[in-house]
Amino acid sequence: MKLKTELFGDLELLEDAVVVFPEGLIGFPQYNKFVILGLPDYHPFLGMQCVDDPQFSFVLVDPCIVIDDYRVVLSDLDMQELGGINIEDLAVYALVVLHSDPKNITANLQGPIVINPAAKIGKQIIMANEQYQLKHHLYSAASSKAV
Amino acid sequence: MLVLSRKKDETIIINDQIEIRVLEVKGDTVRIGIEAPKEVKVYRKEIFDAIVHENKQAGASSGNLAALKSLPLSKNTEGE
Repeated sequence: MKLKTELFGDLELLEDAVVVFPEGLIGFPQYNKFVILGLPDYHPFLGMQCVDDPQFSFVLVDPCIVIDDYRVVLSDLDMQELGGINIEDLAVYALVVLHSDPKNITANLQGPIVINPAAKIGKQIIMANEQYQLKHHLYSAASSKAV
Repeated sequence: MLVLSRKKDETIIINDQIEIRVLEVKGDTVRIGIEAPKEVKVYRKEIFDAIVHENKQAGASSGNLAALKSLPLSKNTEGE
């Protein structure tokens, strides 16, 4: 299917690339279909395009490269909703808020999205422990990771 | 908004299965106990609202990807 997006340009997406978020994103339960995009020029960032609304485009980053020891906490119900997968097999991403000034680019480590890549099911979870920041600045990320 | 007054240990029941009980009142803090089926999600509203707001900002269709290249995380092959 073809999608015209502002952030990623014109996209040609395969139906079987769609990851279904049965509950959508927090605050957006109506958006249920997303496709993860490789962004070769912007490694390690990935894209995530909402199929339901071409205006809803996201950049993703793996939280584990942003901070040390990032762990998601999932309930039994979360695991069930994700298709009964082992936690090690899940893909976890943080949504990135873009900004023209790189010092103001942040990742939401409190509300990661979790995907079962085999079953193509995803959900966004809220991690209530304030150990992780809602707006984690990525500019200094390299220095917050142990070498 | 439905407004009810409850004293300590009194309960409100919603939709047969969700119970909200006042556990303790101390100064201006109310400790609230919630019993709900596991599929019912319960969040502090300010946290929920903050995530919704952040999702809106993250999902912006405008802006562009260029600034990502200036991040130390970016491994691009261009020189500095």
